[in-house]
Amino acid sequence: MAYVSIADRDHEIEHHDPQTFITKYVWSQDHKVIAIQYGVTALFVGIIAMGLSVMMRLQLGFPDNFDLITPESYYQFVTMHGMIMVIYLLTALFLGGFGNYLIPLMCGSRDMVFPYMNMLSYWVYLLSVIILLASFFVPGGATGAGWTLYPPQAISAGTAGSDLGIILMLLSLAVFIVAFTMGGLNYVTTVLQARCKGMTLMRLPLSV
Amino acid sequence: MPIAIAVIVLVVGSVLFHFLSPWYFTPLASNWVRIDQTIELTFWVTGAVFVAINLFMAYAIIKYRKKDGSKATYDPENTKLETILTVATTVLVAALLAPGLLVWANFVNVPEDAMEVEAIGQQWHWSYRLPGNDGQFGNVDSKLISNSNPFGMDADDPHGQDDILIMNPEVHLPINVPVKFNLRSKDVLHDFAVAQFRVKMDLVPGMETYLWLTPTVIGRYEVLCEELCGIAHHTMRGAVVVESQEEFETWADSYPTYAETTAVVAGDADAGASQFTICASCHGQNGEGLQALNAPKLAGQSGWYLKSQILSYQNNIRGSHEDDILGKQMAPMARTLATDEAINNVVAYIQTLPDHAAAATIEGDVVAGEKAYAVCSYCHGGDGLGIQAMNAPRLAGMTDWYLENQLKNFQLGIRGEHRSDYYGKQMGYMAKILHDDDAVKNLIAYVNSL
Repeated sequence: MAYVSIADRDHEIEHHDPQTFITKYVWSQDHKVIAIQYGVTALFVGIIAMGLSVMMRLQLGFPDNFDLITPESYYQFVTMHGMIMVIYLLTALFLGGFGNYLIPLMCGSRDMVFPYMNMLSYWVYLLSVIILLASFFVPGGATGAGWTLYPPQAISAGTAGSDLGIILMLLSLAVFIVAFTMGGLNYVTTVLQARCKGMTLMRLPLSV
Repeated sequence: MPIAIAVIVLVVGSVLFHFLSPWYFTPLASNWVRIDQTIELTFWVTGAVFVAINLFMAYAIIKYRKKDGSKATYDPENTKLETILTVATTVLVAALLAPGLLVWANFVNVPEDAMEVEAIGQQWHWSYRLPGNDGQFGNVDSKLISNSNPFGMDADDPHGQDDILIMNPEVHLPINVPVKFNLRSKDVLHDFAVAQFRVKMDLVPGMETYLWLTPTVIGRYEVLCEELCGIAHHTMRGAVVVESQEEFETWADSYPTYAETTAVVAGDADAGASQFTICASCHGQNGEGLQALNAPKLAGQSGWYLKSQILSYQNNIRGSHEDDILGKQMAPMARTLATDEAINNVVAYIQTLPDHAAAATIEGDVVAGEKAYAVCSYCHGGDGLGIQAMNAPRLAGMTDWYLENQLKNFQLGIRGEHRSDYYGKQMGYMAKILHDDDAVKNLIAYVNSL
């Protein structure tokens, strides 16, 4: 049953702390655990993006030396490296990871105001990462349209991944947006509503 | 303490690097010196702030390091400090923004007397259009673009009849004359950029954008496409040649007007037949090619490509490299076609010749070749029949030993390295994707199967 925190009436509701490994570390609603989940996933996908940047550097340093790196695959590396680093690493790590961890601490609140939605936002983010990585394995490969994904280039014949790759990329972005809208709502509401007594908006740390 | 030292080393290192760095701006060749000045001002402001803040930070770390008995002063608000910092930051940011805005105002207001040139971008070539004697561009429409009308000219517009159409990635400009480049894209985003001119502008499909400049130094400058436009974006190059007014006019006159391109008389195949007898001695009676004489199959090849290659041989763009022995044989043969009419006639005749697929002499792994061919297919077509709009000739059914030779020539720079051979240069880049002889053979084995 969802737990609604009402400050002076805690004793009225049977409050069970999570007991099992799964509820403590996997399906956790605790903001710190969720933040670590975000961080680990973001770093994992960031390492993949770093590998892509190594491939780019190999081509720039030793042009036309590697069979794997053709113009098609090079642009795929450029695009996916950009997308992953900016969105799936930076946004997820800073907003999802550090944000989730520190915002309740900096406001002096117990947790985020919507812990269930917080947990959901992480799992939807993970889904978006899986869809993104799946785009590497579809026929045509990942999209090679540049990380700004401009149409009509993204869907025209002279670009890698112009059929399935770009579709999965956009699907992954849409799912990501859902996840981060949920997270964002959470942050805004927490900061506005759940600050502890005496913590005015002007006293908040600047990074909140 | 170590952190303070690291910060000081960082500052000293950065300053030293600025003065000892081997890199510099490519020399300016246009009127946009204000852009360079803006960059310099930005550098000085940010450089000064960088040095000042870092040195201050190092000083603070050292002076206020933890000592026994030291206690932090309680200083929660300091209105004077806040005011100073806010005002100083505002002034510096304004100093950074203002020159940029002033230069931008200059950039969007094109001088009244600027001559106009249109640069058209497509995947993956540049072409240009001059307004001609009436000084006005004719109407164009994407719907009208076709192989015979690559510029999309509207035949009903009288202003378009004298437009000079330059189907070549190289454009010439007269020195010291302000010029406005009208930019139009046929398909996706591109960007017209010449580093020495400092100005660049995106080409947006559906929009007409522009840039203007006054070239001030005679020379030849490379045009780069600077907005990712597909897999051959890095090969989309061209050139701007700045020269005297007379040389510019000579160059402009060497290109046909739109009216002249539509008035081209189709080649006469019967007249071409007699011309072809010279060619037949190497290329075969039916243009089927003769390997012993190193003459490739001509029958079935696109007419526009045959013509462009003959012109390339005549102009020494092809066949002039010292290692291109076979090309050097072909060049004088191409010159036996003395007039444009003769070329058209021969090409028309070749197109009447029966087209049977050449015998396959090269073997390789077709599956690997198919994978490699994916990149080629974007220009040469999935069926290998060539795409005129991409300036890519037919490959399927043509003599495979010749394809192998040409790929090797492209890889080694024996073909494609001539300054004016832009399409050849593109092929050079693309040919280098194939890393060894086996890759080439596999590719050709696949093309043979098409």
